[in-house]
Amino acid sequence: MADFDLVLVLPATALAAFALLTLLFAPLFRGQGRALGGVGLLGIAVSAAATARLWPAAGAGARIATAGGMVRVDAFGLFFTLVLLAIGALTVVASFRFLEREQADHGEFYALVLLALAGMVVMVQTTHLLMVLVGLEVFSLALYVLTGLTRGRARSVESALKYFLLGAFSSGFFVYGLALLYGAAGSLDLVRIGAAAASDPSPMLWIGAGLVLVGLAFKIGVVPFHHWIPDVYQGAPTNVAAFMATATKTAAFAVLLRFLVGAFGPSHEAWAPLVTWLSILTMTVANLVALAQTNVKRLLAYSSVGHAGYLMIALVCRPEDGVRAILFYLVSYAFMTLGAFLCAAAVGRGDARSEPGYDLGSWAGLGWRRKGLGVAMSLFLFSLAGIPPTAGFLGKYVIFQSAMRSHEYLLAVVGVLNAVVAAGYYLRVVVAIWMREPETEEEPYPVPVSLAAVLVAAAAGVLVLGLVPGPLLDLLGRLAAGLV
Amino acid sequence: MEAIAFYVLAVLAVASAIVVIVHRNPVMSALALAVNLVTIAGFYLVLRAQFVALLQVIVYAGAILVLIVFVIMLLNLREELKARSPGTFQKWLGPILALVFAVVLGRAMLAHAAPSFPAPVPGFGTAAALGIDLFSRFYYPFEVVSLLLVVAMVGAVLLAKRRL
Repeated sequence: MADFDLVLVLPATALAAFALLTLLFAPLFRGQGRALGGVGLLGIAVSAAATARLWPAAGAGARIATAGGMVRVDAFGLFFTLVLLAIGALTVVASFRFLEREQADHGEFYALVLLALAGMVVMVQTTHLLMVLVGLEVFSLALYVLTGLTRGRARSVESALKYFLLGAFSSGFFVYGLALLYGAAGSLDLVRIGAAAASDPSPMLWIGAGLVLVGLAFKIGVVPFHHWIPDVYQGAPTNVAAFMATATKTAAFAVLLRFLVGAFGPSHEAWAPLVTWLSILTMTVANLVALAQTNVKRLLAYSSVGHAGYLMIALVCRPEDGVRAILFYLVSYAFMTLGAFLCAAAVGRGDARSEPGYDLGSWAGLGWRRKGLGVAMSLFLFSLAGIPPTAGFLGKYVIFQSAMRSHEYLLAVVGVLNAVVAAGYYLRVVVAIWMREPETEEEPYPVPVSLAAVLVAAAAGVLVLGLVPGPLLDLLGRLAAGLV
Repeated sequence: MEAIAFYVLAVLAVASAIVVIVHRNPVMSALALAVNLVTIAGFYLVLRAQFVALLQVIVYAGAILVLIVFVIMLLNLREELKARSPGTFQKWLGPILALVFAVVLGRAMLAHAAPSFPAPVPGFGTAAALGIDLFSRFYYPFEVVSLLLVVAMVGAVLLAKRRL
């Protein structure tokens, strides 16, 4: 253990330690989930401080390996850690009142969110696929449980089971891929795998890489591995769906970038056609199916699949443009999707059997009864549709720009066409919010202060990134260098 | 010798795995799973990982399988036996695609010379060697796996306890 340095692994271990503290305090604060949420928030803050402490060294380009080469501290991983922690903090605060309303105010929720975050942090701060697998399993298992948190609702339980079965199946693909990669390269470290791919690519290596890709594509929700997403996002408690849609995709894309652009970067022409077609398929299928949705959660679920397609455009582009575009898009995607799902959480009304509050009909005229909520939701939907001056517009702009620079004209054209189609269903919700008469006399829920604060923060993120993207883009441009 | 053992085990493993998923009686599926788990222990032996083979028999073929049989016993089986899966086209498409995948995989592997593997070091596969590896090279993933167990425990209580 000579090379072990606690400071270097503190971002993940602090999260795990505070998760255990939350569990320890849980019996003392029965029925006061918010107190435990505070402990969780403190854990996220400690982890963020530990990450920020490592930043100066890593920001200068250092890549430090520790724990026997299992952990890699570099600017790329630390950046993803900070994004994940921000998503986690917003989710925790937004959940305070939401869980009370859903009668699922268990302190264990905060422990599981922290453990899921720990798993994701482990996954983004490594170049070793064994660690990726362990982190993936930790956060997946936590998410299976969180999906079934509202046990009283049939849909929640059903979606948890579906997610668990399909997730276990996809993990099987991932592990099978790891076995073949180990056989071909003699190591699970991406540096060694990349070297083997460049010098002696055997069929075993390619099949192994393909199976690993299937496992990651499932987590990201790439067509044709997306079937679970609408069911699970619709069934899961809405705050969990918000967390899943943003954090899972962010963490999985970090690994995908290290894997494809990093380790397999030199053999770009071998996998680029595959990713190109997956991207086209993902965008087109998701956006066309989303047009027919009347349930807001389902619509946002298909929208998240569509956004995975846009992100994959930049995967094919030249790394010096593409990586920056993906990172910027992921940050803006996190703000707008988190915000949109949490707006849905603020509105959603339901009981054990059905959830009419998520149907588009019950959003009719909402803007005039809850003005702040209406404005926030419209802003997030505008951003998702890619309308200036929001972060979503700039994200799409950077992605299509990198596609043009890399001469990927087909992808750019299909992407733009899809953005037009997507605007159709996003704007349908906006129209319902402002231009239709309310269908029910029922007064909408009041928006609790904690949730309102999170919505304001997410809206601020969407606007700031849309208006002054320069500093972030400059920073991200420097991260592309050290993937593996 | 090793090659013969491998092919016998491979046939047994695949056959028992197919029985696990196609047999309609869950008890038969569980028994076939037992055969499957033991053949996998056999693979470990062929690979000279005797300690892992032993654990495989004790933990999987022993403890976990007993648990599965207990659960089957406690649940009402009649309904399960009656339930017939609808004869969709997926029922036929699945095996066909799996077969195609297996053929493609096999051809690709056979067409290319197998990569050479380093010879096992003396003492490979013993409990001592495994323990040293686990706590020197792989201590960090080993510790993170303990988080996985925490999540599993908390999750089981959260989802299954009658009153929280």
